[in-house]
Amino acid sequence: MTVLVIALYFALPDGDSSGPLSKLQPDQEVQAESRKLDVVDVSPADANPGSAITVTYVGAEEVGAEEAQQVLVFVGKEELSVLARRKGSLVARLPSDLSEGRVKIRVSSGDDRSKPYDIRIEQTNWRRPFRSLLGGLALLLFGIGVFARAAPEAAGRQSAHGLARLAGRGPTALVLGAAIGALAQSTTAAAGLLAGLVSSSLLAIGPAASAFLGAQLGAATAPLVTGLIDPREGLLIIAVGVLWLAFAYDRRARALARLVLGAGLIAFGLQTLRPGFEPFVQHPTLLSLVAGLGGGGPGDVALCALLGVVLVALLQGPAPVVVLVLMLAQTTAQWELRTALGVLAGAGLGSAVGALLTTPVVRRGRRLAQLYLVLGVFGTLFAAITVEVWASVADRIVPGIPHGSRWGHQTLLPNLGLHLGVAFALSQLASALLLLPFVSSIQRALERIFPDPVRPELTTIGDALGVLRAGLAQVFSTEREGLRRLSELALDGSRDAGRFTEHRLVDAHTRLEELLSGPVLWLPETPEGRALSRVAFSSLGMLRSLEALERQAERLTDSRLALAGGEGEIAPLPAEDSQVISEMHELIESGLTDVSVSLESRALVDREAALSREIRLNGLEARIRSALQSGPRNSVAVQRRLRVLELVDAYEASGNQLYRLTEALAEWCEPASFTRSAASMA
Amino acid sequence: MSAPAPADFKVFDPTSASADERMTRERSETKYLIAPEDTAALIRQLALHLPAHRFNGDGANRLPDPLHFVTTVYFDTDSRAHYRAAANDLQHNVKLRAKEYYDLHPSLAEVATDPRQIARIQPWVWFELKRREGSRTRKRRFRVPKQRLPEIFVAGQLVPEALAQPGEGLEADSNELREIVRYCESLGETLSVSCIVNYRRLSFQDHACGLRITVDQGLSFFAPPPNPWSFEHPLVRSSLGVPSGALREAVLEVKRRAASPAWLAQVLARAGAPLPFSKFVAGSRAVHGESSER
Repeated sequence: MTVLVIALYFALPDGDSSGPLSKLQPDQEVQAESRKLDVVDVSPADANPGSAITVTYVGAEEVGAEEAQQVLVFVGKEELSVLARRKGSLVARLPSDLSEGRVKIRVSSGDDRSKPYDIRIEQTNWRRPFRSLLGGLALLLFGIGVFARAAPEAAGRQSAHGLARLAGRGPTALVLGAAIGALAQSTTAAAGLLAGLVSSSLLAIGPAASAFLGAQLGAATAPLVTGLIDPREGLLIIAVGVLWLAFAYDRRARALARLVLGAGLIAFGLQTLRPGFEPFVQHPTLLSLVAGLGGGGPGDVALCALLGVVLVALLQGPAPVVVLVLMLAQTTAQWELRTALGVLAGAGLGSAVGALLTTPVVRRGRRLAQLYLVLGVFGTLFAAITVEVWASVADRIVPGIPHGSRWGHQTLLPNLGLHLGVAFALSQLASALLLLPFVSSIQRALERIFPDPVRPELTTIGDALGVLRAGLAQVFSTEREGLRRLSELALDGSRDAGRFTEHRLVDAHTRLEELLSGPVLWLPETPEGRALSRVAFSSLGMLRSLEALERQAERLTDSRLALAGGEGEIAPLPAEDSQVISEMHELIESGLTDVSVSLESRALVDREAALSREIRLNGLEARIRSALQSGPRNSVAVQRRLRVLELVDAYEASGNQLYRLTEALAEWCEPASFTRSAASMA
Repeated sequence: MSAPAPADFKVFDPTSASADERMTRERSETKYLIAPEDTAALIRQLALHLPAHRFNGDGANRLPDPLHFVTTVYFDTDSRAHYRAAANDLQHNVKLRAKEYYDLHPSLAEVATDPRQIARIQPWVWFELKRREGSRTRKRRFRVPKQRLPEIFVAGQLVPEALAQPGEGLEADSNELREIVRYCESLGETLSVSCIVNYRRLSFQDHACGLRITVDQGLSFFAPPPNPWSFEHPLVRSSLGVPSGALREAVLEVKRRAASPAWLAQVLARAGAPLPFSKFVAGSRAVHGESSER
């Protein structure tokens, strides 16, 4: 089915034909027939106040070059500021105070004045770029999360070992990264995929950085060589991922499906993100800046590289910048290969900056981001210094260009395109090969300069036992608060109660994690310390069982709503089921209360009561199980009973954990055991 | 060998006995053998008329839903005098035995880290001298802490002298204890473990303690181990080894100190006629066969 979907998609015409540029080429017949000054096209036809428009005109070609400089452009009666001009077209900035509506654009040369050309002025829609930025970023981060979680599930021991071996050698890591970059066609997407692999511990940081060097190369050159997966195909990849997920029959299949889905979300996220940057990239200020570049000196190269850093970071990779550079070169007619290559020299650092969107959000991402940035700085420096070298090499080896890039909606300057592509590819390859041997050294240097933060020692507090005990009391108290309302969720399907319980359990979990990674590590090596440590770890088991209990209660509510069939009111549980759930809930609550009291007051634990409670819980669970076998035999009743049984099993499991916690607490509460142990240690 | 301290022995004092203890001490007994396929229905019927009974005295297990088990250690002489007497006349005989009561809680298996944690073992055994005269039985018994057993049970043999001088401070009426000792001494032979019987017991008793009905299931008979009271392992079934024999049927015993209620006859109609049955005879036969020698 996947093959069918993909084949059908690519069989459909995509409608990508050369569009506006055809309008740029003046009609030859018109030229031959008329020498009158006339505007043939204004792009965009719907412009914003303050934005730049490209005016294409005819009738001034036979005028000399100097007179071409005298072509002026007007909106109404107001002369526009010309930003750039070439033969037959110019770029002008519209006034910022233009009101919405139709306006007339005219050009004039001397006494010659063209007929008006209507365009529409629209106020800048900032909502679209805003939602593109936010939505695209959200999809991107979500996709990375989905990918990172799926990767370890999809990879078995052999795959993980294979990936580690593959990426462990520098050149193969480079090739792997180039493949990822070529497929993703975006260094940010590649960084996201690599971050996901690092986060899931399938790839180490060093090999990931090496792969990222290759990703820049792949992302930059793939669109110039062949039309591989277009990021517009992100939706198609998502569709394939969802299709696989629907038909996945086991854990690994579901993981693979989520892997594909994650990759699709990353691609689609980037595709959504890019339009968010358009207003900034297309701002007339940029055009003004661009027009001033291109002198060739070190200062100019540095400025070009800096511009390139910003553009690559904003546009998530070098490939769109290649397109933009070619567009700008065409528009301004002032750029040549070396200027364009100077801008693209910023690709290394720009990619690293763009990767900051994805790397810091994952585990060990901070270190990865640092490594990317350092490699990016060196890569950009190398590329900027060697602009002349690669431009010369490209000039020598590239006689002409057979085709241009597929990016954008315009056919770009064919001669410049291939030269730039070859020069850039060689520059990136050389940079990657040069930096590859130093990746490990740079990583080690970063670890020395920016070591991982170390937790402050608790010995300064002085009483790890007391701190832990107070902390555990807090944890139990929070759990009890949450548990108090859990029965409302279980019996009445109250989602508010479920949310309340969930929040309390999250709070308890956070606090317990702090205790386990803090005071527990500093407990004294005494019988009491060891006993309290066991209490702490038993508490974790208890908490996890309560979390599972809450989830099971939510699922019971889900199924009751589903079985309600849209009637709005969910049917109450059968009386026996309600009674059993209530009894089990009371038993767990009372047990947790006993545990809390014992911890706080150090009163001896009533083991008999704990055993009795455990037996009663097991008996209640057995009661529901036998009721399942003897109850009504229709599918709805059986479904309902099964969900109840799942909840009851979760209560019973909590009871087991509660018993173990009680046992651990009993060991801690009974001082006689410490006395004997202390004596034996004396 | 020093005599056990007097406080270790608890002897039944008939003048202050509760009704429950009186029922234990003296009653009429009638036995029925119940087919396995009829046992569950019979138990349900009994449960409708009588509440479940469990020991609530000193050291009782208070946990809910226990499975009660009994291990009875029967003593006999080298010439199997007790067996021969009982085999010849099931209605008139004497048995000397020690009983270990324990409860199992299988549902605790989930939280147990040691098999012993699902068993509730009492820290003592009950020594009993039981006389049967027709349908009436009389028991004399005393309780001994397990840790004192090596003193009265040496090299696999009962040492009555160790019981002879319990010391001062004994509860009133040490006649029962002396009766047991005298009986043991009168045999003229050494007493040792003849066989062991293990079963699960369900017990029902009315509130007046005039009627007690027990249903013993899963009777199994075991040869005596070298040292039956090793304190590392209580006398639970799993520690007794491979059984020498077993009884398919359940043994239902009606123990009365009062008149039998009318409903009981209806319930027992399916049980058939009462049968003379002795766990000791069945056990001894399973372990030693019909021979009078061991």
